[in-house]
Amino acid sequence: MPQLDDILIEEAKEDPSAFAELVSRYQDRLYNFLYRMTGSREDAQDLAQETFLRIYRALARFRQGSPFTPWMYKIAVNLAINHRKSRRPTAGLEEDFASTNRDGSPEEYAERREAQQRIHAAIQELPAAYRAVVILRHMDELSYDEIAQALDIPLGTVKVRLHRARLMLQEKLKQNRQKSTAHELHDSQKTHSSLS
Amino acid sequence: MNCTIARKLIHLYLDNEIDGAAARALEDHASGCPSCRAEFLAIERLALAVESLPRIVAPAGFTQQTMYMIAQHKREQPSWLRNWPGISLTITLVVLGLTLAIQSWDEFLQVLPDAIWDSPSDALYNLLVLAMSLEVSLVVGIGLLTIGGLMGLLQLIMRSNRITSPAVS
Repeated sequence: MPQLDDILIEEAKEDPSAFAELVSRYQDRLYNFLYRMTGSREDAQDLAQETFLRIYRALARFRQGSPFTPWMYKIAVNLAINHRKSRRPTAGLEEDFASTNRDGSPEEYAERREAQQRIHAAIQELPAAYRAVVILRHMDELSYDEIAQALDIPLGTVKVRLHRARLMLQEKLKQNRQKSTAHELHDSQKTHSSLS
Repeated sequence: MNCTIARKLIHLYLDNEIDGAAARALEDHASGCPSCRAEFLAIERLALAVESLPRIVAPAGFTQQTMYMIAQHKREQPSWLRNWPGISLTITLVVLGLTLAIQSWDEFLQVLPDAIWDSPSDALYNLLVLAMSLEVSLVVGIGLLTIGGLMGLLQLIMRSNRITSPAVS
Protein backbone atom coordinates (compact mmCIF):
# COMPACT_ATOMS: atom_id res chain seq x y z
CA MET A 1 0.00 0.00 0.00
CA PRO A 2 1.45 3.41 -0.92
CA GLN A 3 2.41 5.68 1.94
CA LEU A 4 0.99 9.17 2.36
CA ASP A 5 4.36 10.61 1.28
CA ASP A 6 4.21 8.65 -1.98
CA ILE A 7 0.68 9.86 -2.69
CA LEU A 8 1.64 13.47 -1.98
CA ILE A 9 4.74 13.25 -4.17
CA GLU A 10 2.78 11.75 -7.07
CA GLU A 11 0.17 14.49 -6.69
CA ALA A 12 2.82 17.21 -6.45
CA LYS A 13 4.28 16.19 -9.82
CA GLU A 14 1.01 17.38 -11.40
CA ASP A 15 -0.23 19.92 -8.90
CA PRO A 16 2.05 22.29 -6.98
CA SER A 17 -0.53 22.84 -4.24
CA ALA A 18 -0.07 19.20 -3.21
CA PHE A 19 3.55 20.04 -2.63
CA ALA A 20 2.46 22.62 -0.04
CA GLU A 21 0.96 19.71 1.88
CA LEU A 22 4.31 17.95 1.88
CA VAL A 23 6.07 21.14 3.01
CA SER A 24 3.75 21.69 5.93
CA ARG A 25 4.08 18.04 6.90
CA TYR A 26 7.86 18.19 7.21
CA GLN A 27 8.75 21.85 7.74
CA ASP A 28 9.07 21.66 11.53
CA ARG A 29 11.30 18.59 11.50
CA LEU A 30 13.48 20.10 8.85
CA TYR A 31 13.60 23.53 10.47
CA ASN A 32 14.57 22.14 13.87
CA PHE A 33 17.24 19.93 12.29
CA LEU A 34 18.75 22.87 10.40
CA TYR A 35 18.51 25.15 13.42
CA ARG A 36 20.45 22.62 15.49
CA MET A 37 22.95 22.25 12.63
CA THR A 38 23.55 25.96 12.01
CA GLY A 39 22.68 27.53 15.34
CA SER A 40 20.88 30.33 13.54
CA ARG A 41 17.18 30.81 12.84
CA GLU A 42 17.78 32.80 9.65
CA ASP A 43 20.12 30.17 8.27
CA ALA A 44 17.69 27.42 9.25
CA GLN A 45 14.90 29.15 7.35
CA ASP A 46 17.00 29.81 4.25
CA LEU A 47 18.35 26.28 4.12
CA ALA A 48 14.94 24.72 4.80
CA GLN A 49 13.46 26.66 1.88
CA GLU A 50 16.39 25.74 -0.32
CA THR A 51 15.92 22.08 0.63
CA PHE A 52 12.25 22.17 -0.38
CA LEU A 53 13.09 23.94 -3.62
CA ARG A 54 15.61 21.24 -4.49
CA ILE A 55 13.13 18.53 -3.59
CA TYR A 56 10.52 20.17 -5.80
CA ARG A 57 12.90 20.32 -8.73
CA ALA A 58 13.90 16.69 -8.28
CA LEU A 59 10.35 15.33 -7.85
CA ALA A 60 10.37 13.74 -11.29
CA ARG A 61 13.46 11.74 -10.37
CA PHE A 62 11.98 10.45 -7.13
CA ARG A 63 11.45 6.70 -7.18
CA GLN A 64 8.10 5.70 -5.81
CA GLY A 65 8.26 3.43 -2.81
CA SER A 66 11.64 4.63 -1.57
CA PRO A 67 11.31 6.43 1.77
CA PHE A 68 10.99 10.20 1.60
CA THR A 69 12.67 11.30 4.84
CA PRO A 70 16.22 10.00 4.22
CA TRP A 71 16.09 11.73 0.84
CA MET A 72 14.98 14.99 2.47
CA TYR A 73 17.67 14.76 5.14
CA LYS A 74 20.29 13.95 2.53
CA ILE A 75 19.65 17.23 0.75
CA ALA A 76 19.44 19.17 4.02
CA VAL A 77 22.62 17.61 5.44
CA ASN A 78 24.57 18.49 2.30
CA LEU A 79 23.35 22.07 2.43
CA ALA A 80 24.10 22.37 6.14
CA ILE A 81 27.59 20.86 5.92
CA ASN A 82 28.59 23.02 2.97
CA HIS A 83 27.05 26.09 4.52
CA ARG A 84 29.53 28.54 5.97
CA LYS A 85 28.38 29.90 9.26
CA SER A 86 27.86 33.47 8.26
CA ARG A 87 25.29 34.75 10.66
CA ARG A 88 25.45 35.26 14.34
CA PRO A 89 23.98 32.35 16.24
CA THR A 90 20.53 32.86 17.63
CA ALA A 91 20.52 31.80 21.24
CA GLY A 92 18.28 32.02 24.24
CA LEU A 93 15.05 33.18 22.61
CA GLU A 94 12.21 32.64 25.05
CA GLU A 95 10.22 30.57 22.56
CA ASP A 96 13.15 28.17 22.20
CA PHE A 97 12.26 26.97 25.66
CA ALA A 98 8.50 26.96 25.19
CA SER A 99 8.48 23.19 25.41
CA THR A 100 10.87 23.05 28.36
CA ASN A 101 9.29 21.28 31.27
CA ARG A 102 8.01 23.92 33.73
CA ASP A 103 7.51 21.53 36.63
CA GLY A 104 9.11 22.44 39.93
CA SER A 105 10.42 25.75 41.16
CA PRO A 106 11.48 28.65 38.92
CA GLU A 107 15.07 27.88 39.95
CA GLU A 108 14.74 24.33 38.66
CA TYR A 109 13.25 25.62 35.42
CA ALA A 110 16.09 28.12 35.00
CA GLU A 111 18.58 25.36 35.67
CA ARG A 112 17.00 23.11 33.05
CA ARG A 113 17.10 25.96 30.55
CA GLU A 114 20.73 26.59 31.28
CA ALA A 115 21.56 22.91 30.87
CA GLN A 116 19.79 22.89 27.49
CA GLN A 117 21.68 26.00 26.46
CA ARG A 118 24.97 24.31 27.36
CA ILE A 119 24.14 21.18 25.37
CA HIS A 120 23.09 23.22 22.35
CA ALA A 121 26.33 25.22 22.52
CA ALA A 122 28.44 22.07 22.85
CA ILE A 123 26.72 20.51 19.82
CA GLN A 124 27.55 23.65 17.83
CA GLU A 125 31.23 23.12 18.60
CA LEU A 126 31.30 19.63 17.02
CA PRO A 127 32.59 19.25 13.45
CA ALA A 128 29.60 19.30 11.06
CA ALA A 129 29.76 15.61 10.13
CA TYR A 130 29.65 14.63 13.82
CA ARG A 131 27.03 17.24 14.66
CA ALA A 132 24.80 15.74 11.96
CA VAL A 133 24.86 12.18 13.36
CA VAL A 134 24.12 13.35 16.90
CA ILE A 135 21.15 15.45 15.83
CA LEU A 136 19.79 12.85 13.41
CA ARG A 137 20.01 10.15 16.06
CA HIS A 138 18.80 11.99 19.15
CA MET A 139 16.47 14.68 17.86
CA ASP A 140 15.12 13.19 14.65
CA GLU A 141 15.30 9.64 16.01
CA LEU A 142 16.61 8.12 12.79
CA SER A 143 17.90 4.55 12.85
CA TYR A 144 21.51 3.74 11.93
CA ASP A 145 20.22 2.59 8.55
CA GLU A 146 18.41 5.84 7.89
CA ILE A 147 21.41 7.88 9.04
CA ALA A 148 23.62 5.89 6.66
CA GLN A 149 21.25 6.74 3.80
CA ALA A 150 20.96 10.40 4.74
CA LEU A 151 24.72 10.89 5.00
CA ASP A 152 25.55 8.48 2.19
CA ILE A 153 28.04 6.59 4.34
CA PRO A 154 28.36 2.88 5.25
CA LEU A 155 26.64 1.53 8.35
CA GLY A 156 30.00 0.88 10.03
CA THR A 157 30.92 4.53 9.63
CA VAL A 158 27.66 5.58 11.29
CA LYS A 159 28.53 3.47 14.35
CA VAL A 160 32.05 4.82 14.61
CA ARG A 161 31.02 8.41 14.00
CA LEU A 162 28.21 8.35 16.53
CA HIS A 163 30.49 6.78 19.12
CA ARG A 164 33.16 9.43 18.57
CA ALA A 165 30.62 12.25 18.41
CA ARG A 166 29.27 11.35 21.84
CA LEU A 167 32.73 11.17 23.36
CA MET A 168 33.57 14.54 21.81
CA LEU A 169 30.35 16.00 23.13
CA GLN A 170 31.12 14.68 26.61
CA GLU A 171 34.56 16.23 26.41
CA LYS A 172 33.21 19.62 25.23
CA LEU A 173 30.67 19.70 28.04
CA LYS A 174 33.38 18.91 30.58
CA GLN A 175 35.67 21.62 29.16
CA ASN A 176 32.90 24.22 29.11
CA ARG A 177 31.95 23.38 32.68
CA GLN A 178 35.56 23.79 33.77
CA LYS A 179 35.81 27.08 31.91
CA SER A 180 32.67 28.44 33.52
CA THR A 181 33.74 27.37 37.02
CA ALA A 182 37.12 28.99 36.39
CA HIS A 183 35.24 32.16 35.41
CA GLU A 184 33.09 32.04 38.52
CA LEU A 185 36.15 31.47 40.66
CA HIS A 186 37.87 34.39 38.99
CA ASP A 187 34.81 36.62 39.50
CA SER A 188 34.43 35.65 43.15
CA GLN A 189 38.12 36.32 43.71
CA LYS A 190 37.69 39.76 42.18
CA THR A 191 34.74 40.62 44.41
CA HIS A 192 36.68 39.22 47.34
CA SER A 193 39.72 41.36 46.62
CA SER A 194 37.62 44.47 46.05
CA LEU A 195 35.93 43.90 49.41
CA SER A 196 39.15 43.51 51.35
CA MET B 1 34.16 -9.52 27.51
CA ASN B 2 36.78 -6.84 28.01
CA CYS B 3 36.14 -3.16 28.69
CA THR B 4 37.17 -1.98 25.20
CA ILE B 5 34.46 -4.07 23.56
CA ALA B 6 31.96 -3.20 26.28
CA ARG B 7 32.54 0.54 25.72
CA LYS B 8 31.67 0.09 22.04
CA LEU B 9 28.60 -2.01 22.79
CA ILE B 10 27.25 0.57 25.24
CA HIS B 11 26.49 2.91 22.32
CA LEU B 12 24.83 0.20 20.25
CA TYR B 13 22.86 -0.96 23.26
CA LEU B 14 21.48 2.51 23.98
CA ASP B 15 20.57 2.91 20.29
CA ASN B 16 18.75 -0.46 20.17
CA GLU B 17 21.12 -1.60 17.46
CA ILE B 18 22.32 -4.75 19.18
CA ASP B 19 21.10 -8.35 19.25
CA GLY B 20 19.94 -10.20 22.34
CA ALA B 21 23.10 -12.24 22.90
CA ALA B 22 25.38 -9.19 22.73
CA ALA B 23 23.04 -7.25 25.02
CA ARG B 24 23.16 -10.01 27.64
CA ALA B 25 26.95 -10.21 27.38
CA LEU B 26 27.19 -6.46 27.98
CA GLU B 27 24.82 -6.64 30.94
CA ASP B 28 26.90 -9.47 32.41
CA HIS B 29 30.08 -7.45 32.01
CA ALA B 30 28.58 -4.23 33.41
CA SER B 31 27.23 -5.95 36.49
CA GLY B 32 30.80 -6.77 37.50
CA CYS B 33 32.55 -3.63 36.19
CA PRO B 34 31.81 -0.34 37.99
CA SER B 35 33.72 1.82 35.52
CA CYS B 36 31.77 0.49 32.51
CA ARG B 37 28.57 0.92 34.52
CA ALA B 38 29.49 4.55 35.14
CA GLU B 39 30.28 5.03 31.45
CA PHE B 40 26.94 3.49 30.53
CA LEU B 41 25.10 5.93 32.79
CA ALA B 42 27.13 8.89 31.50
CA ILE B 43 26.35 8.11 27.85
CA GLU B 44 22.71 7.48 28.68
CA ARG B 45 22.51 10.83 30.48
CA LEU B 46 24.12 12.57 27.53
CA ALA B 47 21.70 10.98 25.07
CA LEU B 48 18.74 11.97 27.23
CA ALA B 49 20.06 15.52 27.51
CA VAL B 50 20.21 15.91 23.72
CA GLU B 51 16.80 14.27 23.33
CA SER B 52 15.31 16.71 25.83
CA LEU B 53 16.29 19.76 23.77
CA PRO B 54 13.20 21.67 22.66
CA ARG B 55 12.04 21.12 19.08
CA ILE B 56 12.02 24.50 17.41
CA VAL B 57 9.15 24.93 14.97
CA ALA B 58 9.29 26.77 11.65
CA PRO B 59 8.08 30.38 11.77
CA ALA B 60 4.48 31.21 10.91
CA GLY B 61 3.83 31.43 7.18
CA PHE B 62 6.76 29.20 6.31
CA THR B 63 4.75 27.02 3.91
CA GLN B 64 3.33 30.01 2.00
CA GLN B 65 6.73 31.68 1.75
CA THR B 66 8.32 28.47 0.50
CA MET B 67 5.60 27.94 -2.10
CA TYR B 68 5.95 31.56 -3.18
CA MET B 69 9.69 31.10 -3.63
CA ILE B 70 9.16 27.93 -5.64
CA ALA B 71 6.62 29.70 -7.86
CA GLN B 72 9.09 32.53 -8.45
CA HIS B 73 11.78 30.08 -9.52
CA LYS B 74 9.36 28.25 -11.77
CA ARG B 75 8.36 31.42 -13.58
CA GLU B 76 11.94 31.97 -14.59
CA GLN B 77 12.71 30.83 -18.12
CA PRO B 78 14.73 27.68 -18.62
CA SER B 79 18.43 28.42 -18.66
CA TRP B 80 18.94 27.98 -22.41
CA LEU B 81 16.21 30.55 -23.05
CA ARG B 82 17.60 32.90 -20.42
CA ASN B 83 20.97 32.77 -22.17
CA TRP B 84 19.64 33.21 -25.70
CA PRO B 85 21.26 36.63 -26.32
CA GLY B 86 24.66 35.16 -25.49
CA ILE B 87 24.08 32.07 -27.57
CA SER B 88 22.69 33.93 -30.58
CA LEU B 89 25.56 36.42 -30.43
CA THR B 90 28.11 33.63 -30.46
CA ILE B 91 26.42 31.92 -33.40
CA THR B 92 26.20 35.23 -35.33
CA LEU B 93 29.86 35.99 -34.77
CA VAL B 94 31.00 32.52 -35.74
CA VAL B 95 28.85 32.46 -38.90
CA LEU B 96 29.98 35.95 -39.87
CA GLY B 97 33.62 35.14 -39.23
CA LEU B 98 33.42 31.97 -41.29
CA THR B 99 31.61 33.74 -44.16
CA LEU B 100 34.19 36.49 -44.25
CA ALA B 101 37.03 34.01 -44.09
CA ILE B 102 35.60 31.88 -46.91
CA GLN B 103 34.83 34.95 -48.99
CA SER B 104 38.29 36.38 -48.52
CA TRP B 105 39.86 33.05 -49.28
CA ASP B 106 37.76 32.74 -52.46
CA GLU B 107 38.73 36.23 -53.51
CA PHE B 108 42.31 35.48 -52.73
CA LEU B 109 42.27 32.31 -54.83
CA GLN B 110 40.52 34.14 -57.70
CA VAL B 111 42.77 37.12 -57.66
CA LEU B 112 46.15 35.76 -56.81
CA PRO B 113 46.96 33.21 -59.53
CA ASP B 114 45.79 35.52 -62.38
CA ALA B 115 47.59 38.45 -60.89
CA ILE B 116 50.77 36.53 -60.55
CA TRP B 117 50.56 35.41 -64.21
CA ASP B 118 49.43 38.77 -65.63
CA SER B 119 51.57 41.35 -63.99
CA PRO B 120 53.09 41.85 -60.61
CA SER B 121 51.57 45.34 -60.24
CA ASP B 122 48.03 43.96 -60.67
CA ALA B 123 48.77 41.42 -58.03
CA LEU B 124 49.88 44.19 -55.71
CA TYR B 125 46.70 46.17 -56.45
CA ASN B 126 44.47 43.18 -55.83
CA LEU B 127 46.22 42.39 -52.60
CA LEU B 128 45.56 45.97 -51.53
CA VAL B 129 41.85 45.58 -52.31
CA LEU B 130 41.82 42.36 -50.36
CA ALA B 131 43.50 44.01 -47.39
CA MET B 132 40.91 46.80 -47.46
CA SER B 133 38.03 44.35 -47.57
CA LEU B 134 39.57 42.59 -44.59
CA GLU B 135 39.69 45.91 -42.82
CA VAL B 136 36.02 46.47 -43.58
CA SER B 137 35.19 43.08 -42.09
CA LEU B 138 37.26 44.04 -39.05
CA VAL B 139 35.19 47.20 -38.58
CA VAL B 140 31.97 45.23 -39.02
CA GLY B 141 33.27 42.68 -36.52
CA ILE B 142 34.07 45.34 -33.94
CA GLY B 143 30.63 46.88 -34.45
CA LEU B 144 28.97 43.52 -33.86
CA LEU B 145 31.08 42.91 -30.78
CA THR B 146 29.98 46.26 -29.38
CA ILE B 147 26.32 45.45 -29.96
CA GLY B 148 26.84 42.03 -28.40
CA GLY B 149 28.49 43.59 -25.38
CA LEU B 150 25.61 46.04 -24.93
CA MET B 151 23.13 43.18 -25.17
CA GLY B 152 25.07 41.23 -22.58
CA LEU B 153 25.05 44.24 -20.27
CA LEU B 154 21.30 44.67 -20.72
CA GLN B 155 20.80 41.01 -19.93
CA LEU B 156 22.89 41.35 -16.77
CA ILE B 157 20.83 44.32 -15.57
CA MET B 158 17.60 42.46 -16.27
CA ARG B 159 18.77 39.42 -14.38
CA SER B 160 19.95 41.32 -11.30
CA ASN B 161 16.56 43.05 -11.22
CA ARG B 162 14.84 39.71 -11.32
CA ILE B 163 16.88 38.42 -8.40
CA THR B 164 16.35 41.41 -6.17
CA SER B 165 12.68 42.07 -6.83
CA PRO B 166 10.91 39.06 -5.28
CA ALA B 167 11.99 39.69 -1.71
CA VAL B 168 11.38 36.43 0.10
CA SER B 169 12.52 36.79 3.64
